[in-house]
Amino acid sequence: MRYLALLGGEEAAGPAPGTPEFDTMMQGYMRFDEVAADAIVGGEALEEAATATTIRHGDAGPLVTAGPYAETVEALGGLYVLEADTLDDAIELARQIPAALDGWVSLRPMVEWFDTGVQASGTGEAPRYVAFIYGKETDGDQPDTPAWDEGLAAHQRFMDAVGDAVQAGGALHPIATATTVQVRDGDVIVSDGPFAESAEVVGGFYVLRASDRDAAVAVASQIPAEAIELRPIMEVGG
Amino acid sequence: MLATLARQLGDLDAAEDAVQEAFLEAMRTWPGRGVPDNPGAWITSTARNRAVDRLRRESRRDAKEKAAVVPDPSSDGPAGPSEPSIVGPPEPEPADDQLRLIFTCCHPALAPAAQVALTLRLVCGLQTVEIARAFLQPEATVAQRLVRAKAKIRTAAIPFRVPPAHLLPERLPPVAACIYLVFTEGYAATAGDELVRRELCDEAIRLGRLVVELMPDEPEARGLLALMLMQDSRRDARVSVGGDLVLLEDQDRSSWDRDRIAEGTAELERALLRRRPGPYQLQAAIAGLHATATSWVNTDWPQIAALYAELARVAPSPVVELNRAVAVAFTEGPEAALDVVDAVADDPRLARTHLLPATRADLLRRLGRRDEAADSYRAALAMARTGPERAFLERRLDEVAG
Repeated sequence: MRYLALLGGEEAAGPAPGTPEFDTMMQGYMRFDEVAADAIVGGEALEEAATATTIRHGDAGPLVTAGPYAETVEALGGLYVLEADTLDDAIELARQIPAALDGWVSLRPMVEWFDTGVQASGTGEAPRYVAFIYGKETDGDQPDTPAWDEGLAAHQRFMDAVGDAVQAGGALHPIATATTVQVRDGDVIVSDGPFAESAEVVGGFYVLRASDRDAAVAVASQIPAEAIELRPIMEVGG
Repeated sequence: MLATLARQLGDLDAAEDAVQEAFLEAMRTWPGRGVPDNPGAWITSTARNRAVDRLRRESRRDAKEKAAVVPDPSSDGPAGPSEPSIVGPPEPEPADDQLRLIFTCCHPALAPAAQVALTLRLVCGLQTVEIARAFLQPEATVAQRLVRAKAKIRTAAIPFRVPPAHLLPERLPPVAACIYLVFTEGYAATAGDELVRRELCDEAIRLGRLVVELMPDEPEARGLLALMLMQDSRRDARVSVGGDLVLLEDQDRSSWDRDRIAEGTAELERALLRRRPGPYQLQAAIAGLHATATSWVNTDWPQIAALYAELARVAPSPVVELNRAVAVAFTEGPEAALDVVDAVADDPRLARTHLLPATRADLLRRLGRRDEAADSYRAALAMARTGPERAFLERRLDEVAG
C-alpha cells in the first residue's frame, strides 16, 4: 500500500547550503534514494515556507495571501510517496530519511495516488508546485461514504477543468491514522499521530504545473477545498 | 481463540464479530442438535467460515482496503463448508498467537492509552465497561478509543506479527509497560471494592512469561517477570479477611507465597547475570529485599534507599521519590523523608493520586504532628478510589484526630 511521508522540521535548525553538514544531508538523501529504490513512487523537495502562497475560500471568494497556511516553527520541507506492505516496512524506510534525524517524518496512509508519469527536469519546463489541501476534518474525509464520493466527483471536475496542469495527486486517510517517525541518538522513536496536533490538517495534495505563480494560483483556486497552500517545488537532479 | 482467528483472518474486527456470531449460533443450534464432540473447534471453524464469507462479500467492494484473508483450506471437513468440521488441522501454539496479539496491540504507532485498552480487551478479554471502570474513564471514551485503534491497525496496515528479532529490543518497552500496567491494575485496583483482582495479575504474569520465552537474553523482560512474581507473592496478605487494606509493614509474612518468591528471585538472578541493569530489575531487587526480610523493621532499608536512588537516576518519577521517602524515613528519619516528599509535592503527575498526601500524612503522624497529619489524611481520603484504601485512611484519621 501507499504511504505519504511528509518531511518536516524547524527550517532554522536545518544545515545551510554550502556547509559540510548540508553535503552530509544531501548524501543521506541520495543514499535513501538508492536503498529505497522501487519503494519510492513519488517525491518532491519544497522551497522554504516563506515562498508559499495560501488560498482561503470564504463567503467573499478566495483570499490569497503570501506565506504558508500555518505560521509555525515546524515547516514541511518535502515529501515522498512510498510503497510498502505494512506500516513497519514504511517505518523502516522513513527512519532512513535524513529529515527524521533533526526533524520528523509523518507517515500517512493514502487512499489514492496517481502520477501522470511526466518527469520533471530542472530547466526549460514549467515551474511546478505542490498544492496542499488544508481544512478541518469532517465526515466527508472518511472513504466509502456519500460525502467522500461527492468530494471525489468535485475533484474530478477540477481535474477535467485544468487538464495537464495536474501532474500528480494524492488523497489521504484521516489524520488519526498518521504515525510520526524520528531518530534521536540512534534510537527510532515511533509515535501515534501527526507531529503537531491541529484541527487543520493536510487531507490531500496535487502536484501542479503552471507558467508562473499567478497561473498556479489560478489553477489551485479551483481545487475544491477550504484552503490550499501552494509551495514551489525545489527541483533536484535531472 | 481470538488471537488464532485474528492471525488467520488478518483482521481483528472481523475476528471479534465472527467469534460473537459463532457463540450466538452455538446457543441457537446446540440445544437441538447436541453439543459437538469438540465444541472449541466448532466455534473456531464456524467463526472462521462466517468471517471469510463476510470478508469475501466486502472485498468485492474494495479489494485493496481489506487485509489479506488466509483461510485454512484443509479445515473444511468432509461434510462441506456448511457443516462446520469438528476435525481441523493441528492449530499452531496459541502462545505464539498471543504474543503476536500483544505486540500488535502495543505497536508504538498506537497511542499508549490505546495500547493498554486494546491489550485489556483483546488479550485479557476484559469488557469495555471493565476497562473504563479500571481507569476511571467514561465507557464511551474507551469504546471510541478501541474503535479508532482497530481502524488504525487496519488502515495503516500495522502488521499482525511478533516483530523480527532486530526490532524486538525497541518494541519491548511498550509491551512491558502494558503488561505491568495490567498487573498493577490487578494488584492495586484503582476503583471498586476489591483491592486485588487476581485474574489480571495472573494474566500479566502469564504474558510476562511468554515474553521471557521470546526474549530469553533480555534482562528487563526477566526483571519485569521477577517484579510481578515477587509482588504477587504478597497478594493474599495484602487484603484482610474483612476486605481491609493491610500495609506491607503489617502483613503476615508467613502467608507470602514462597514459591513465587523463589521463582522471582531466580529470574532476577538470571537477569542480573547480563550486567545490563534497568528499571524493572531495580524494582524487582527492591521487591526481593522486602520478600526476604523477616520483618518490616529488619528490612535492609539502606540498600532499598540506595536502589531507589539508582531508580530515580535511570527512571525518575515522583512516585519513585515517594517510595524513596519511605526508605529514607528509616535510614535518616521522618524529617529527612518529609523533605523528599515536599520536593515532589507540586509535581502535576501526582495531582490525582492519594499517594502523596497519604505518604506525607504517615510521616507527620510519626513525627507527632497530629493536626497536620489529619489534614493530609483528609486530603488523601478525597482522592482514594477503592473501598479498602478509604477504610484504612479513615482509621488513620480517627487515630490522629480522635
